[in-house]
Amino acid sequence: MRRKTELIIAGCLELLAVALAKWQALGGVRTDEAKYLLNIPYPHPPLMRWLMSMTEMLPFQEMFWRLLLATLIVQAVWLVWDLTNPERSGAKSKGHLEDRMMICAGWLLSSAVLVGAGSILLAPVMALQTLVFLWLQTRSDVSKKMPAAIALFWLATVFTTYTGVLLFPLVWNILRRGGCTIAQTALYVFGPVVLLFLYTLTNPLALAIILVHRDEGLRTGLAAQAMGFGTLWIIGGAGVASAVGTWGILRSRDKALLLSFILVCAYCFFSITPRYYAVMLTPFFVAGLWKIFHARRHPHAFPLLGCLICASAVITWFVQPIRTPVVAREVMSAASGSGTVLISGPFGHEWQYESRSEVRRYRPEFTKDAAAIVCLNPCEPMFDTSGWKQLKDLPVEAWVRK
Amino acid sequence: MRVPFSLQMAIFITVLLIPGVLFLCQIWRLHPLYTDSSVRESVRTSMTDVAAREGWLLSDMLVTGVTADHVRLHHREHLRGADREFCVMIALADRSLHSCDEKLS
Repeated sequence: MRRKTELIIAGCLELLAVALAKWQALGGVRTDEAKYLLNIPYPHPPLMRWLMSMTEMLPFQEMFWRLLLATLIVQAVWLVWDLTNPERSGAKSKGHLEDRMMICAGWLLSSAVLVGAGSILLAPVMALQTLVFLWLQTRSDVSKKMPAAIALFWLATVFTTYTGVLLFPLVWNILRRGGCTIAQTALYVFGPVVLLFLYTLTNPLALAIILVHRDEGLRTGLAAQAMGFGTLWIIGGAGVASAVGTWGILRSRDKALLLSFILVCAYCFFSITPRYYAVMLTPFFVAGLWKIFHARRHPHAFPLLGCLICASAVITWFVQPIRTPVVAREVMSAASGSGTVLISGPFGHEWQYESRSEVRRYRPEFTKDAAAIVCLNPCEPMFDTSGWKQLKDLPVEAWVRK
Repeated sequence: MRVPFSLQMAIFITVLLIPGVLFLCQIWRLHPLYTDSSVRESVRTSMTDVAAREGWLLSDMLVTGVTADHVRLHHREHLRGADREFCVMIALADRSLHSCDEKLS
């Protein structure tokens, strides 16, 4: 009976995952997503983007990854459910069902999860990895038996995104609780970080991008930074879970949780971070919620849940993903053919993703070998248009050979 | 079956060492970029000029080797499906392009 209930719940969650993936797919592949699908070597380390590029031969590559990531993010609520198991924390009373449901809702109804679950980005992947580490904090039986496995997962984390490094206090705590000595823990925790540093030195472009972003972040005024961080904080927990979760983290005695949370917040504050980074805060809010609720029976779980549902609906409405397809897909479908595509003006990597042939920046001397020319900015100097046909009904100026 | 701690540590160290050694070899090939600011600036401007001249994207140009007078690049056109890849060298003095098979003086 219990197994049947779990299967039904998992099935309903999967329907949610499919809906979220299809919602994201309406807008097509964005430039940041294209970077990972094509394994373009910046700004993040190679692991996840290499895995994604292994599926380039699939015509449904985009949908495959949207569904897979949405499934992982949504079904991760089972980790939250297990994390809130009162037996793990040694709480004397069992039950707290409404509290556990509230905390699971803190994950599932987070606006950041709802708008980010079907996206092909690394911030939701890092959120998932953070949730795994938070779950491992409650499972010292695992860290006692398999510290190297945890360290390998940590290695995979830092080689997924650079921001993964900010989780090192959690990993340190997990391994020390599992019985590793300080020397062993230092090797397990900092060995991968050193390896990541060495990898970065082999990729000067990634290093240059990091320095450019650092400079841009430092040039941003405090007010803009605070506004940006505030936006991420609200989106990360739909306001309600953000506030209660933050309160839970601050009043808990979990130094590892607090330190990792502060590091991630500092990163979000001082960098120019897009909105989808809000999901990196969500697992911390979930942990903070549990810190509030697990100590004693809390009388306000269901009213809070009601507030969370309303806040999530409103905030998600305002930050919902773009539903109009990117221009690149429409133009490249109309302009497809064998031969180089020349593009004038700044363009994102989604143009490379939607093209089956080489994409180069426009120069008049390249037009003799080109099959299509896209003028996002005016093509200057203009090429000889005899022999070319302008495509109609497109949002940008595009030419193909007659 | 419980794997002994020492074996776990040995496996982990091996997993770190293999890519670590490969990275160190690659860093050695790139070290003028990090130790000489004039070479660094020269490589930066050469790559930017060549990218503008050839219509290439900087993200398609991976630096694989640097000396005082040339930079070796692996150019890969990131596209759906098979990516066309080739190796080129840029002479830093005149920013001319050469095949990697050529011997530059």
